[in-house]
Amino acid sequence: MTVAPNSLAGGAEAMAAEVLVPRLLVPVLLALVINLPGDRALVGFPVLTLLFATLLEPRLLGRATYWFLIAAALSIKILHEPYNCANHYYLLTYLAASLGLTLGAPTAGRSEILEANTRGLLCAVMGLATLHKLLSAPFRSGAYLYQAMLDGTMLRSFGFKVSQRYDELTAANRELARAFRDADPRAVESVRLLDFDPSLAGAAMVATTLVIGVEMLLLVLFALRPRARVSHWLLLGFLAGVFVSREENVFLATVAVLGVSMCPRSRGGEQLVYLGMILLLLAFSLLDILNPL
Amino acid sequence: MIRRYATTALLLLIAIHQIVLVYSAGLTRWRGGGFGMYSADHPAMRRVWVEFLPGSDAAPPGTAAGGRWRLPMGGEEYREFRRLEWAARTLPNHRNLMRIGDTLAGLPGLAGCAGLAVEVWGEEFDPETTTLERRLVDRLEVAGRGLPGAPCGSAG
Repeated sequence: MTVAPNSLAGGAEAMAAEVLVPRLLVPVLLALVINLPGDRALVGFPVLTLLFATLLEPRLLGRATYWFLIAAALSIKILHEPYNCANHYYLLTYLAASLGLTLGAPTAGRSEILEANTRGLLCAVMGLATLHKLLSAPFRSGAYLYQAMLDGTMLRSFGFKVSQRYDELTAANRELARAFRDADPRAVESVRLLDFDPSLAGAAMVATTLVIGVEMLLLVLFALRPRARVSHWLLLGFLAGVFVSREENVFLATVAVLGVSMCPRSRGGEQLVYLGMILLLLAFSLLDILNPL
Repeated sequence: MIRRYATTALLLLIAIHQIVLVYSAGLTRWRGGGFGMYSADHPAMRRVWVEFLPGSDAAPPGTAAGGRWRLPMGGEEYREFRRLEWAARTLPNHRNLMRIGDTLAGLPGLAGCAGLAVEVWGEEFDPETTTLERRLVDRLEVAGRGLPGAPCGSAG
């Protein structure tokens, strides 16, 4: 007996993007709220109140006003601290506003409106990420990723081992960097990090080129062929790659929701992988809370 | 048309504003809605230092007279500085440095302060030598309130 992938995804084959995306966004917003570092009351209370309201009245998820209210609740933090607000707040706010714009339109054109919104958002995010990396001299030269490899902030999540003593040596480098940063800058002008693997410099240059190339390719593919299989598999590969190297679970889950919204209903396999990816990211987000470093 | 592209247009407007601030005011690429994370050093790598200028015989509560301090200093009276310090790390512009200077200059223990300088320090990594080197991101001098005729919060 064969089971259609979509049936595993809870009947996603029958669900239009403008119905599926609001349902996926609820757990992402919940993960955002419970991961808030300090100002839970400012953003957490209004967003949580709105999320709990859907337990009493699930049809709220299909209302434009509801999503504009979510966008307004998220923008409280942005307006309060515009220059200290992480980018996923901005992205979730745009996505919630996109749902408001979509659900306020006549039913017939909703899928196209949502796709136009999420396609624009994803292309803009990839374009800006590429632009910043190209404009940043430390990133362009490979120095940024080399430093991240030496202090273990890049390859940490899944314990990639470039050396048997990788954890120990990167921890030593992090301690050297911390002591240097905390010391009087007039008294201590520099510190040398342990260079435990000469091949890392070359690997950092390769990684730099790869990151810029993939982000640029995602921009081009989603601008030209947002529904193509290759676009979605590249995005899924990108999400998996970032997932193993950085702890950015809420941001990645939001990007995965953007991907789902552009994935045609005929592509059940890709939809299923997106859903699995979102579940995994949210599960790790929860683990981060239970096991803080 | 508006329904399809309004959110993208808003994102791009905010991102352009962020890029302008990155180059004009030292805003970190990580913050401000420009999606420049993982392209340059994180604000957590920056530090804010306060230097009491020559002639100061005053000191913040709980510290020795004169000298240099890294923010945030310990003690409940400095709670406000944690927020100000982080704001200066992410956006080390005149306004944010002035807020730190003015708040410090207004502390009771600094009545005789000749003036102070607020500095934001970052770092640069040299891949050839695997060395972290200091980089002064910004510095602002603020006159003390305790001296006759010294205008409060004047920038140097």
